[in-house]
Amino acid sequence: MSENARLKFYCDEHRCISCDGCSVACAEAHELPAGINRRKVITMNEGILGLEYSLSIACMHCTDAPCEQVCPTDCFYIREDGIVLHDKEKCIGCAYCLYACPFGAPQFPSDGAFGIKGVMDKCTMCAGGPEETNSHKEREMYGQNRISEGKVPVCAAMCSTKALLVGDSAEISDIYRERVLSVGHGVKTQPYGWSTAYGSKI
Amino acid sequence: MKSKYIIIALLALSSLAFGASESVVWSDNLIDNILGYDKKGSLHLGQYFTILQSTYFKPLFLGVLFGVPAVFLLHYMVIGPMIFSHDRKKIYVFTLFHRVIHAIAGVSFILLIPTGLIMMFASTFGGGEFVRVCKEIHAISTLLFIVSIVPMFFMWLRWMFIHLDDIKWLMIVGGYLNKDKKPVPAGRFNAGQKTWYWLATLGGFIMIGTGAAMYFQDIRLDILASNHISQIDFLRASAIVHNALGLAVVALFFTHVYMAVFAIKGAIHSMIDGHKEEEEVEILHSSYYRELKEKGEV
Amino acid sequence: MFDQISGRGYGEMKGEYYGLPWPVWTETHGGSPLLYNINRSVAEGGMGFRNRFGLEHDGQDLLAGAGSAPKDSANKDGYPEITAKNIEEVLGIKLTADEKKRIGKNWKVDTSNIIAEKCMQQGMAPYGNAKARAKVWTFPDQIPMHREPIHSPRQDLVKQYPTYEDKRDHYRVDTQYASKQNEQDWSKDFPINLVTGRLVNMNGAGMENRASKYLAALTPEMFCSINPDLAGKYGIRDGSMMWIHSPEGTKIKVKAKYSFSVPEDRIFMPFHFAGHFQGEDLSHKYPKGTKPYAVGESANTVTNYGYDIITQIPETKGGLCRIEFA
Ligand code: SF4
Ligand code: SF4
Ligand code: SF4
Repeated sequence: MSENARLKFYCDEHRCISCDGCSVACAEAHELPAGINRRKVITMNEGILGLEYSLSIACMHCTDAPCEQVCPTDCFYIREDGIVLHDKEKCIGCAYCLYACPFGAPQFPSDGAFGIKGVMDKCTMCAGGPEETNSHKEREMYGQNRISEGKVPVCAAMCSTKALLVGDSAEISDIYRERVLSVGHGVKTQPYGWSTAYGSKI
Repeated sequence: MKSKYIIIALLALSSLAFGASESVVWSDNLIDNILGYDKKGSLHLGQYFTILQSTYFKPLFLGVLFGVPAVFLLHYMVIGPMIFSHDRKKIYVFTLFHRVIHAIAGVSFILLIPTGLIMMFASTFGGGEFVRVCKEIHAISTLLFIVSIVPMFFMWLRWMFIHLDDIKWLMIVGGYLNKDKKPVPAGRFNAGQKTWYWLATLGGFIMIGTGAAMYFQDIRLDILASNHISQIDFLRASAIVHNALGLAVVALFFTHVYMAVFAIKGAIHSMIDGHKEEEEVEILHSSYYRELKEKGEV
Repeated sequence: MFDQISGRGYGEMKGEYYGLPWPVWTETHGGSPLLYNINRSVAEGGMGFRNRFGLEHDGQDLLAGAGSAPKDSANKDGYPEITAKNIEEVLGIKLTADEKKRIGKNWKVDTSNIIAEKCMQQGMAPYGNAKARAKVWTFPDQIPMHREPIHSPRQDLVKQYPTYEDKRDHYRVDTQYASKQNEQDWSKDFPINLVTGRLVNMNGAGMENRASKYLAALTPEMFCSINPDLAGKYGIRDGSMMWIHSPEGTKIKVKAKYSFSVPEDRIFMPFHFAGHFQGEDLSHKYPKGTKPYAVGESANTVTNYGYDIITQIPETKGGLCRIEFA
């Protein structure tokens, strides 16, 4: 990671097979309540030949995060590494962050009867929250803090096609550039054919 | 025993309305949310909301919160209150029903406005439980507001249509810029009161609708879907409208209170015992006074 | 460690293949990564086809042709699978008396592994070197050919590609083929193709997955993917309920889900659900505490009659149905 690394997600729509592994892994790892999807896989143009593709979406940990700008409680804080987190003890569940968010990331659990909504929950990039790192309270309120343990966020870690990438934004764009440039050369995007598997002699 | 069943029935109903259906914000509609941010063909409401909320709303509310009282303080010091004779007859203007409804509305405003402002300035109050409670009070007092504003709309409607007097009234700013006791052109309600009435009722209905939309988030409106407005854009529009109207409501509420309590000495009594001083009516509602005279009621 | 394309080890892993691909003939053999590769010796992972179907059929020699043995083979031509009886002759070696005592009957049951060891020394495969066959003379269709499903949407194709004759005592069941297909023109009353299949999040039968909160949440309800144009003809809206009737006289009630992934002549349903039966919610019958998070109609309630001619596996992909707005 470089000095001024900002951690970012990137989902490669040429690779995503919409298996929903990321979203289930996330829900499972953080034991999210029903109705909360920190990560969601969406399919665009479903069934339309040549136009269909899928993407895995969660909080994108925006630079100049709009959610942070509008929150009336100022409960957001952006870590040095660019992860956008918030303090659930301050949050009042007004949903302004949701209105500002370009990705529909903030979510609100139904708090019991009459559809009243509780405080906001969103992807933490598996970095917990403002509570003491890896404390029980942090775990209960924000889910696992994998970043502090040096682990990759669980959604990206389990992505079997490596469509979902997470890391220093500069490195991620390098990987993507390499993928784009190497389509048809070197990196295998096609299944092995006879010549690759057996050699061209026979 | 009975109340238990009522609660269970209500719970079941509410789950029908909100729990059973998939979220309108996050299910398949998530795509609309994303496309609706600032992509081609979107309403750009996400951006507008972000800009308004991050840079304009708070200063504007601060302006209203301190600016309006400051202007009135100036008015009070420079021009001073109108004082009408308490010796003449009193005219019975507001029935008990009017006064009760008005009182309920008053209580709801006294609850709604501070709690709303606390939410707007949540960070000043540290957020958290206190502001959350205010949010719930804001929601619950809306019920009071609803039960008062609906009858109020109908009970005064017939006096609230625009009249030539209103334009004249506006030209002289209701006669408040000096202390001359010249008759002011106004019927039973003057242009200022009418404005407040329309803002409180029609504006109030919009406040209720937009507020409920934001509070419940998941209210499913087919009319939106059929017009290709995504739920999230609806919510954004609600937030913008709610805050903008809120500004006006706060400003006019302050004005209303100032007029009743300070600017016109004793005016508040008309909403307590139903009577206005005859001189007050003669001057401030001169057209109405003429009417009453013609009918021989004074 | 391993070459990315051939899977062959190098350095420390020299002589091995990635993942020990079957068959691994002896304890020192590195495995055989390709089904057929005669450019490499058997000891190094090369192999020909197994001698599986006898030595001769209809006058055709079934052993491999002359000169087609894998590289470095002592026997350059085809040869039968190796047994205790033919080992000396086929491999061209002599066994000691001790080996003769310990050797198993054939390569499959030879626990002494003498056959494999000797074969490796000679560069030969214990299971022989024979021809592959493209004709299965024990099957009704020796070479696969198209046959219309019993419930076919196309009568003309039924005539052209009729199904099998009825089969008596097919795994103890008298099974209908032609008589069912010709019973009537099924496509008249049941004009829509019915396809069932798997959802990724429900991977197997779906029972365990529907009992997992997060997996079930992805597809909380039984549904039927339907092309909007087809749905429009029946007045079925996205998310509304629809009936699906099968030629068996059964029906299910499921939620319509608009999708362009299915063409206009068919509907698709996942097969993982259970708990409802023909429009009735029976999920209260689950023993207490065992009701899965997601319940719904089972697609198999409406899949059509039809069984595989060899295995008796039921037909779940080639059926017909009739739909209506519910
Ligand atoms: S919540 Fe939305 S606006 Fe905030 S950082 Fe995440 S994606 Fe960006
Ligand atoms: S819901 Fe919570 S985090 Fe979001 S803007 Fe409101 S107070 Fe801030
Ligand atoms: S980074 Fe962690 S919290 Fe965010 S979507 Fe992935 S698994 Fe969920």
